[in-house]
Amino acid sequence: MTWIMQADHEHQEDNEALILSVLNGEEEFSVIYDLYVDRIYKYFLSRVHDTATAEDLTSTLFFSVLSNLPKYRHVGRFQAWIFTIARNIFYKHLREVKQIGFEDIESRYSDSTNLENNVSDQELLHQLSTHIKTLNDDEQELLRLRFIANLKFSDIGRVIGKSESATKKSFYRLIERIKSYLEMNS
Amino acid sequence: MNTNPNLNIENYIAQAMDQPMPDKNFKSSLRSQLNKAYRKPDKQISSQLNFRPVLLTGLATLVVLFVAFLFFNPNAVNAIRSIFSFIPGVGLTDSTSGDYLIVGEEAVRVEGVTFQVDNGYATSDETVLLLKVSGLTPEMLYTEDEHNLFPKPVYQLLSKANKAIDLTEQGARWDGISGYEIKLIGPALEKFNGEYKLTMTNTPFANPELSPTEIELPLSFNQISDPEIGLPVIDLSLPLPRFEIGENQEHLQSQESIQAEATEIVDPVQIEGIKIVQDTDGTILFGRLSWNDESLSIPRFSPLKVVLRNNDGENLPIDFYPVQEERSSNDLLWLPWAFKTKQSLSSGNYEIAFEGLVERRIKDYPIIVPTEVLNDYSKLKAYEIEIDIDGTSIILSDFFVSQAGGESILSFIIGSEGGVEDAMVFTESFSGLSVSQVDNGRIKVELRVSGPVELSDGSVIIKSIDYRMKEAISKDFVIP
Repeated sequence: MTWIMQADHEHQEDNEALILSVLNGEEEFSVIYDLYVDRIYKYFLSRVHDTATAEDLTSTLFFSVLSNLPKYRHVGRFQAWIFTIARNIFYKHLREVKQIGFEDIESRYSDSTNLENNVSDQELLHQLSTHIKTLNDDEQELLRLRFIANLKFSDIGRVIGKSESATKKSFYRLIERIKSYLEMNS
Repeated sequence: MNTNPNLNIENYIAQAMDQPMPDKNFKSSLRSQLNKAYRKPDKQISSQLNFRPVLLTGLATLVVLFVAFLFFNPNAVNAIRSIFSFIPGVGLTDSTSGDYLIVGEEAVRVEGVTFQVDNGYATSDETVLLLKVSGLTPEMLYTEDEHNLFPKPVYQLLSKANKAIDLTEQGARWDGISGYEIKLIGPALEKFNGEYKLTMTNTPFANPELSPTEIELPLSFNQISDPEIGLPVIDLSLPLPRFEIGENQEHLQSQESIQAEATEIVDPVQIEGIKIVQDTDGTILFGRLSWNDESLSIPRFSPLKVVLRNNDGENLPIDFYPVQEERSSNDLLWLPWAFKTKQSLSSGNYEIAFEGLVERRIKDYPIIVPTEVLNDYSKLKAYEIEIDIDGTSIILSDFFVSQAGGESILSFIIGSEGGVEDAMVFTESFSGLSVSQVDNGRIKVELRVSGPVELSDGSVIIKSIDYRMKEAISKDFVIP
């Protein structure tokens, strides 16, 4: 397995200094945009499975952040703030379309295929991908916020309205369940 | 060195969940739009008011006189208190306004049943709590027909001073005995104190003679420093089994029935347990798709077309209805669905049909091509393999093999009348797979193999195929 997890959840506070400089007018808004656009887009895509909708929601999110930026008070939780807005935008979208499933074109596991992986990795990824889709929405969201949004547990807790320890507990319990599922099916 | 045993599995999960990057054109276009719309805030400027010593002395004197006036005049205190109490964040009263979030509460276990409120909030408009109940036995739960026989719980949120607000059920995520979640909603809290308790007269959805009654759950709230951050989305929209309508009770009385007729089986997949709930502006139908074959799964509920017909054969307009029904186990062979009609349905016979459901068949299908075909490019190109899956014919065609630099590429097309959406193919020395849509019903599979690809011995195997069912599945039901 050559793939290396890119998320470095514990070293993202450094970004807060940049956010602060945007708030103070020392930097352009594009600093925030560049920091978050990929993760925000991937987060939306993982929820809607449709690139056009993911692009629309990403645009809505950044214009919303732009207009609400003066309301943000620098408390070192910008990531939790921006992903809470993302989550709210997604749920608003859901209420508007009220069409779960009609346009639900599942993202293919081949999207994430790494040609350098070997057979067992591919099998494992296929199994994992299939299994993750059977998890309930809250569990999938926990994985999304951790692995796609790359949030720390304290920030995930803020987004989903749970304490950091409760979030950690749920996360590791879920990881254990996924592990035992894979062991049982290997 | 990281010794966390979970890290490896976390890496795999992260990779399995990874999504493609956004399109570069989209990114740069949005970036320039945002740059145009952005106006830099003024840099923070420190106060430029320079008080002169004389002015400061005068101001201090005024403050002393004012405090003395308040000290000797209680009426003035009350007047000022009442003025300030209207200003959020400023005031002399003990009430504060703002948003409050539930602190994750420990579960309370009563007679084997677990109650927990670990999500919720209070704002100046409303109070919302998410109550989770689990551990009920089948005997405790009442059946669908019994719900009118038992009292509905009365929910109250009590402050330390025993001031109460009433909460009502607004939605639920229901999974029978595995547990359920209920969204409770009430008015804003008048005066905010951090400590509360939620009381309910009896266990929701349960026979009060067999399940806990007079339940109390301690709750505490934390003020949110930044309202934009805190409020969780509590979006449970599946109506409760005893969903009630506020208006026109006589005509819109809640009706619910589980239809017992046998499903018209054209596939191992069946529509079952249709429930009907009359709402003010339409009828909500919800139920499950189930199957009993473990080699089959429905990766998602997304039919190409959903048709609802009345007894006269008229098609009635219908929308998807958002539902989050929790699947407590991953081995369950069912998926939930829900729809809402544009107008309330009257008594009569109806039929609901789902066309073009996606099925995933997880089974090994070896690809075997005779040697004489493999040796002739034109024969290989024209060669077709048919796989029969429960009467659905899947055709493999347009085989092509190339070899360069120690790597072989095998490509072929998979199609069916209903349409194929995805497939997983393996062989030994596999090095990569890509799947792309050729047209509406067909996909192209490209398999990379290190060394030569062997198609004559069955070592190239299709592990799973996602295809759309050609036949619709349907079910009749009656609204009494």
